[in-house]
Amino acid sequence: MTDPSASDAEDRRAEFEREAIPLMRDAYNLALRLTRQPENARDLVQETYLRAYRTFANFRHGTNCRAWLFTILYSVFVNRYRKERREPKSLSVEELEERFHRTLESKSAADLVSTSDAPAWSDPDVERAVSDLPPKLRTTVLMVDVGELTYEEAATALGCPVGTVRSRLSRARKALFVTLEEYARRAGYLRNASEEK
Amino acid sequence: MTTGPEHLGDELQDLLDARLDASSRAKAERHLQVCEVCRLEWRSLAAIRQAVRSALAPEELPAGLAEETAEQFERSGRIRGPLPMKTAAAIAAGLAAIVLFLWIGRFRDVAAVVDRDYEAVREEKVPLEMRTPDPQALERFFADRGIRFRTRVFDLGMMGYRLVGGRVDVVAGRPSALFVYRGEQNKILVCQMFEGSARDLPRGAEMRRHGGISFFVYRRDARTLVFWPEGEVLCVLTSDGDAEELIALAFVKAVPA
Repeated sequence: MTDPSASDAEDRRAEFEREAIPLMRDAYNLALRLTRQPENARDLVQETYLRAYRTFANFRHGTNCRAWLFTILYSVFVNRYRKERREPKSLSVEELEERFHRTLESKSAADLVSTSDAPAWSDPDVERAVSDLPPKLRTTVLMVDVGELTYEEAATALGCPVGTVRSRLSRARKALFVTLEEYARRAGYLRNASEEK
Repeated sequence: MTTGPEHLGDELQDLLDARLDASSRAKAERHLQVCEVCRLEWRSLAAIRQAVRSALAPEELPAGLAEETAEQFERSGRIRGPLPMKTAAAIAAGLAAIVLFLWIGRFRDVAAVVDRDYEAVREEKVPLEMRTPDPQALERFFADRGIRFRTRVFDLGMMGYRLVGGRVDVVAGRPSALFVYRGEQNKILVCQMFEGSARDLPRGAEMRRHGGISFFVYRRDARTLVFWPEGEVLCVLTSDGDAEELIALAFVKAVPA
């Protein structure tokens, strides 16, 4: 006679393989952006999947498995890699808004984003700009814009209110715009805003 | 700034991330058609989002990572999951039965343990920690060994029993002062004192009353166990000799609490 508990375990394992394993690439990429080290990213993914495997019974079917995995991954990341790190000082919301809108007022910047569907920023510049974001803003961008989580899912993964995700995302995108505009101007793609006037 | 009432402000982000309901979205889109400032900001944010997605396109999994992780699953065993209802109920019932059995057994065991201890002493399977004919010396030994209550090691010389010695034993998880006498024809008499009350004793005892004290007599083949309480301590005499003689000995030595 078949042991029902063994059969249940096999079913759960099969379901885990069906739901979670295909998302390993997404998890690895998030881990890579968070740790910035391929070896650390490998370890982080392995630890994440091991925990996910052991606790798969906690996963609610019908919900986003990627969000569930990212939640575990971020928790492991924070516990393992972020213990001693302090959040670097970033621009205040007011300063950021001011710089963002000052940049927007530059006609060249307007041209940059309105004359072509494809942004003119190079991928390495974007990657560097994302990498230079304060960790909380960077993590939010990685969760929502790259990982394609909803605000609610990202809030669960990051352990913060949805409003905080919204506000961090807003600040992150504006900070990226300002930074990339500066990169472009330095590279000679844009004239200084003051030269425009 | 685009945060005034004439501009969309934070609504731009909600529009970009598809977080507006149909009505609000239509209203925001109509605004974008006529407001160059908001349109520029919306395009800027959209361009950033697109640039990030493009620049941070997913990399391929490193070779071997999936296989290594799968091996870890194998080593880690099964997924922990909620037990099926029937299994959980069966386990709960089993645990309850065990707890009940132990709870009942704990009291039943008091007599059984004392009986077993007697047998072990008789067959010299357990050593006496102190050998002395002096009752007071043995009482001091028990105190030194951490027995919290005051022990009374009887002098049974008048009844033909001489004290051999004693040891600290355990009855129902409690320290017990165990002392041994030897009588005529090498008969063994064992006394034990440990913290407890008559409630700890199993059913089936033959009750005797003497001097205001209740005695609980258990007979196991030729062996007799006589329990009686002294305050918070249970005393017991055990012997393979004559039962009534043992009971009479208990009557003489028992002290009302």
